[in-house]
Amino acid sequence: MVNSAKNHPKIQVLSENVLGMEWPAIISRDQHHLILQLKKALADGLPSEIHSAVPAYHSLTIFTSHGTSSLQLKPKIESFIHEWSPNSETTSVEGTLHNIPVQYGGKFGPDLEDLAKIKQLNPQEIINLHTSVEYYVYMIGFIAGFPYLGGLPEILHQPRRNEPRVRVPAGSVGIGGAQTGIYPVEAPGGWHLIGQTTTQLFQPTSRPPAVIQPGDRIHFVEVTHD
Amino acid sequence: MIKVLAPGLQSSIQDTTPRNGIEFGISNGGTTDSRAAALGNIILGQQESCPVLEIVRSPVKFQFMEACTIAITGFGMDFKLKDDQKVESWKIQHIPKNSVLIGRPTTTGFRSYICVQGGFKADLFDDTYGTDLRLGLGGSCRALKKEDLLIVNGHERNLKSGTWRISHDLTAYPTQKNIRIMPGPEISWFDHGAVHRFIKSSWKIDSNSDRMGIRLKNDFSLPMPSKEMLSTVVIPGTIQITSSGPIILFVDAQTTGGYPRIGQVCAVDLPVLAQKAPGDEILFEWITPEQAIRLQDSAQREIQQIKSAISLH
Repeated sequence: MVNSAKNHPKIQVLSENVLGMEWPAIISRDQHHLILQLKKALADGLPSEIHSAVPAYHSLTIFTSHGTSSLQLKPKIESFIHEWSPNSETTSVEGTLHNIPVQYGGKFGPDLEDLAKIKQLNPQEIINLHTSVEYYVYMIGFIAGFPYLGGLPEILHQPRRNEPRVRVPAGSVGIGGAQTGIYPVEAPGGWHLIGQTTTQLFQPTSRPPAVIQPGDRIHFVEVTHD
Repeated sequence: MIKVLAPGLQSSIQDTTPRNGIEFGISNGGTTDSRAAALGNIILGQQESCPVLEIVRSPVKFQFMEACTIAITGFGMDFKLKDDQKVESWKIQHIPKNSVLIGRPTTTGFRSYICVQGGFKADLFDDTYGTDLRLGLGGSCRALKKEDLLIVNGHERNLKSGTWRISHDLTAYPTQKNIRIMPGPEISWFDHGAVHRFIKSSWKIDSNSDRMGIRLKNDFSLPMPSKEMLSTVVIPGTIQITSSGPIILFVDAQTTGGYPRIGQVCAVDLPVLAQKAPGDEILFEWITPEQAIRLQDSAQREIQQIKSAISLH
């Protein structure tokens, strides 16, 4: 698997100081492991020229250090990748497993009942499905600390609400399309809210401020209301 | 201390340093017209990144509870003291204790900066003093409200009132209509006709624009590519094409996006965009990354030259 993903990424100049590296547009844990490995290798290999490297589903975006332009960095990255061989042991980039306690339904998950009706399941079956798998964190984005997760059981896929909420409370756990996720801070949003966690995913004064990082895994655990 | 008597549409403390937290989903933030903000601080002989007040074109009023030395930069506003004494921009100005500074909208430009000697006291968030209006963190933590008090940091030097101001050539950029862009990663997803219409048409700034994104309007819509895009990291200046038209992501934009990117505004033209008001028209012009990097280098050299020229005074 890793071999097929060794396909060299396409490297494009995104701006004066930013390069975009792109792999085939698929959501694959194997490919993502390779991206995370390369992120680490580049940080070690070209520390003075790279300010940061930010992974997404199928890309790694490189921000150059002050004084280095994207065009100066591009050939260096190309030859680095040419020389580089990824490690087939992916455990080196597998991150932390977070158990996220969630209170499902009721005021914590105002859309759980409706979602159950649409799916012709009972609410507990939705909860059981949602807590049955381990999710993988591909990237952080959209709002501070928001994890994009892969692994939502297909039966729970559900297009976004027609009318997005102006305010989704911090800690809300929702489903939107093929994705599930947690709102770390209050934000507008169109996902179906099925529960809420007390875990604080975004702590502005901590380093790093986001508790969850790409490569981490998440397991939702049902906790009951008092 | 400076008391806010009329806060305007959206005034907030910002600084020129972008935040570092893209990988944690934290927007760049900071001043939208970093050139004007940096020049204001340079006029005052201080660090370019000193926290300044960014004001969106609208009537504002501030009462100076203490004497301050300031430089007003940016565009879109005329400033005077309550006794009708004009406060000229782009130069050192002494504001006596108890004065009331009044700002009124003009027609060209959209964002003004009040830079004060010593800088404004502001909250630190992710190593910068800019306000993240969405998170309510850093800087002034929110847009200013009436009765807010702004604290000015102490300083040592006494500056003489300037008889000089920054040259008019250096402050002509708000009238620039052309915005120079590099081709975006998904440009080949659009058919030739769509790319042609995009580059040949004049675009109007929509009133729905803000620090997160500048929305562009026209009397036609560009056909969307049929391909679906996987979300990826996006940066300020990226032009995404959506079914409701092009959006230029701006300093407070979210850090990931899933709309095809047709182009990228070159860094030196981001201040030009910051000065475009709703209803203003812009025209795009292709440049290569090589050209964009050269423009950025010469803009940085120009700032260095201004700095050394001012330090000789």
